[in-house]
Amino acid sequence: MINIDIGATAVAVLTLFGIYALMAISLNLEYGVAGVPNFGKALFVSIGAYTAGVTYTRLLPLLAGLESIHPCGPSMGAALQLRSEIMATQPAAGFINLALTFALAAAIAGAVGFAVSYVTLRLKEEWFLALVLLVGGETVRILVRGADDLICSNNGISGVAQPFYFLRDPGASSFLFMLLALALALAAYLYSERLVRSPFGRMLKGLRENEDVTRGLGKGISLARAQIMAVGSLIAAIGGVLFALNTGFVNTNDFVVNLTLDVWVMVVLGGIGNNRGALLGALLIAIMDRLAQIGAIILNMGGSEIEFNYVRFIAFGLILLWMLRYRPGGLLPESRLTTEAHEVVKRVIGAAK
Amino acid sequence: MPPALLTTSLVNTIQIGSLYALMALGITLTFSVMKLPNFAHAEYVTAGAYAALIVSLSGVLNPLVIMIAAFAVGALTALISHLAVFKPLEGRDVSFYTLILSSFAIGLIIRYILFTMADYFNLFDLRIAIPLQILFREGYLILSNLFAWVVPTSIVLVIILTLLLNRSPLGREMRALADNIILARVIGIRVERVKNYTWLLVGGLAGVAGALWGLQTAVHPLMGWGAIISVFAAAILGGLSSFSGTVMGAYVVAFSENTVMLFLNVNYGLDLAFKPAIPFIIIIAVLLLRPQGFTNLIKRAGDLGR
Amino acid sequence: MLRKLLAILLIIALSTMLGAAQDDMETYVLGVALPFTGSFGTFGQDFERGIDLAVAQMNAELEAAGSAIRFETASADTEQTPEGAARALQTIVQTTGAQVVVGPLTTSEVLGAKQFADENGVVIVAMASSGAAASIPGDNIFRVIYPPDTFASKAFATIALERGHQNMVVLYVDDPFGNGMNEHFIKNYQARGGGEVASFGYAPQSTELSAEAAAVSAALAGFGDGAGFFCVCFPGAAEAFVQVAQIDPILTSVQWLGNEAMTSDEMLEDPGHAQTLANANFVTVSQSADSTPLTPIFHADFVAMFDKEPGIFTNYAFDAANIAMLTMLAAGNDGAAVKSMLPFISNHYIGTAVQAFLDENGDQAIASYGIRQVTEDGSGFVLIGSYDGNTDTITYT
Repeated sequence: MINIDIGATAVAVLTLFGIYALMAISLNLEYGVAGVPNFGKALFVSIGAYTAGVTYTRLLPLLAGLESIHPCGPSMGAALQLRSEIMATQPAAGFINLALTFALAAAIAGAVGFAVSYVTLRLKEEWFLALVLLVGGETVRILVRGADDLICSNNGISGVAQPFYFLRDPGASSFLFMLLALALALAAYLYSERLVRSPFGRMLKGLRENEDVTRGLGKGISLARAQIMAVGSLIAAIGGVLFALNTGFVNTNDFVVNLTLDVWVMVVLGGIGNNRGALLGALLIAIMDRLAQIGAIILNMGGSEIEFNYVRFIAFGLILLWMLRYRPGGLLPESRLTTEAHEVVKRVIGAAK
Repeated sequence: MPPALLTTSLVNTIQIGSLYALMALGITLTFSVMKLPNFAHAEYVTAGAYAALIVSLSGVLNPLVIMIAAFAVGALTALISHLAVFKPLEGRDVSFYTLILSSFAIGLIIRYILFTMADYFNLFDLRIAIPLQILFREGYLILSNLFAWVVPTSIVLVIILTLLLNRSPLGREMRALADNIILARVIGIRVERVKNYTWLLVGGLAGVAGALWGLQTAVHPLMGWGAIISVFAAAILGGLSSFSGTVMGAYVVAFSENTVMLFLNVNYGLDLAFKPAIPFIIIIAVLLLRPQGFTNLIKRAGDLGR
Repeated sequence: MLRKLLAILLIIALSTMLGAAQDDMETYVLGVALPFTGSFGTFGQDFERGIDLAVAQMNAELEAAGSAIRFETASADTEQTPEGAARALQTIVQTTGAQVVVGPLTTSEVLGAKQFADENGVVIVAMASSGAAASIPGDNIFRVIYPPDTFASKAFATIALERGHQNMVVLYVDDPFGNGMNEHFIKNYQARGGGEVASFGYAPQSTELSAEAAAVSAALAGFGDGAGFFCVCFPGAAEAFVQVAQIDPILTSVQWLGNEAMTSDEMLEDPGHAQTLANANFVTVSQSADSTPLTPIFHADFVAMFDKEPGIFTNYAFDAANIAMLTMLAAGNDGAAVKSMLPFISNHYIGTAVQAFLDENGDQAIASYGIRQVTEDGSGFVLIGSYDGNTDTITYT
């Protein structure tokens, strides 16, 4: 029996859209604008999530004026109860904690992105960078599992609740959380639009198109790449904080290569080099994921012999291939940048004619 | 390290290294001739393993027949993915990442087709019905019939491949393609035909590797995907261009995952659960410190087929 | 692509109308959140069959009794990740209005689904998660049937000592289940007078375990005579391990203990594997087979419906679905009422393996296990005794 709660579905899909949009915009800045092929997106997203895991277990009790309990091992249950109580009764502590989490996650991820970019400048070929970032993300994930005391790597940390939990009304709190995610996505969009149109952004695009020419113009290439990696990484980490809050649980199993590939698909789908394309890609993936799940529920209800959850991935692959082949620029291809100088030149040419 | 452990781990290194070599050669060949880092290579391995499993379940237990079936299915899967996916992208100005993403996408499609099939016919975690036996035992050294199949098969196939590339007209054409595709076209090489043969060869090797890998483990739609990073590490150690470098790389990766891992475990208590990180670390280290891999260590380096 | 989206929307609209057409019946939706993709996809498929059997039987009985209520399942894929489990649960609830969901499989998936379930009053009935991390009082998660591994680890420790193993080597999967089992086994074994334990964790995604087998073999050799081996492995990895262990002279000369996953059908189908387990005198402690009248009935019905043997743990999925449905029949299709009533119903449910009785965390409190040993020819397993976890006693038959 299908009985779709359209309101709740829309809130869930739009929340996911906000989170995906942050990841997609960050990749679009790095790859679409600066040409840095970040195949390690899951790593930077996970930095945000792990930071949330640490602040919710260490910082939050302090902010609420209570003593923190070690979150792993035998005291796990007691620590979880403490977190849930604070989130339910002391909204102020929850909000301050969240603000500090965002700041901390952004700072750590930004620093890591900056450093990674410098290390990887040694790489001979550009696509080596893609490979190093891809396997680097997985390596960190495997090594983090060894850091058991920090984020209880094996069991994970639950009770990383979203900040409106204290309302005790799932409809209202998830709606407000959606607004938060959308607001952050919008902020990232506006910021990156400004960045793209700035002289710095134009230089980056020049760098992407032809490194030698840009170098010839005397621009500091390494620094520019490092800066864009820092900005992209911090946006991804903010997405990672929201990703953790949306599930309420932080666990290494969530940050696998598939997450990175999903973000790439969003950017390719929407249009590389175009922020609005990144938004569109994020929205389409959020919607398609939900539609495919609904489709699987319906077809399985019909008693089909074939497992639709497998077909879902086959369809996903086919759509991606179709896009890569027939719409390589994405649904919203990159448009030419125009500046005031362009306009002036155009006017001059027009006048001359 | 106790001598028994050292011996066993070295035998495992040779056995698993030979399997990695078979898989990695295909990746090097695709990269040299087609300029394509193909992540769907994992699925040709899995497809070959399933072909071997189905043949063995139907009652045919002759290893040669099983391997030929695996070769055929792997080759066909590779050719189809070339004709349907990679060939149409040629000639357009596509970036490397478009190619990588396409290979992920076709890999995803093949993997879940295999999942659907395995689910429908109930073929999860089964084993190819060739029993394992001890052939040779002397002190700590124990060699199984699997070892006797895997190692000579790999060596023979590597030799055949090298001869094919260096001595046959097809091999010359392949090398010409690897060097300069435009020039190859100009001097009248039928590029498409050569590419088709290359894909058949790449997929066939992967398929045979899959059949043998299925003897080593259990057959599952994720088995190729589970080994692909180790295999890529081997190919990268070979600089993605040299055959001998790739084979050496395969043994180095297997050595690190077995002997080195066990050494670290025994002496420093490093948990075996960190084993999957080893090929990753090898890839990062090679690309950062020595992107040419082993190629400069080998005479006449850089030439495909050496 | 727009056409594809429209097609899916059309299907949704059509089935909504079809659903609305038969409104003289009352349909309760039973959600099913399981990993259908990923390396545990096999589990998901098997569990779904167990749940489908329970629903089919229940509907047949309801029809015969003239009831207007029917059950229907809505299943979604958790992709074997915590975040995937959260999305699966969300989709099931928001698409069908389901109030009760059977699943997910592993402890980390259960924890991933927890926030949404608690906030929205949806009840989760998990069938096989046993990690201590999800033992939380008062939440919406019930883990019926399968008791926490603290009990089984005691049984394994006692058997190891009864078999005269002065030292033990453990190979365990490095996840909440394997870690918990390993930790508790070491603690109990040593508390009961056991000697040293060497344990090796393997990465959960591993498909090839020759290095692990070599390490276990060397550790056994280091302990000398009288050492035993205990394997805490998942299916797939278990077969891959036995495949390489069967030619190891040390591993084939010691006695083995192992968890239930070592006893899959696939394992005994291979003659070499079956012989290896037989030579190793393999013993497993699992929820006791043949301990309730429902056990043979479930088995026969399952084979009749699907023409195949039920996989391991599949009966727990069947039990979990039955407990969920019985509670819904008593309490109605309402999460809060189901949450309040579920312990009462499950405490009165007979079970295919063991009676369910829940503790204050909503976890199974009855720890009644069967001890099974592989037959000499490796053709199957026979029950050789039972273990009562609540009194910590082993009885051999």
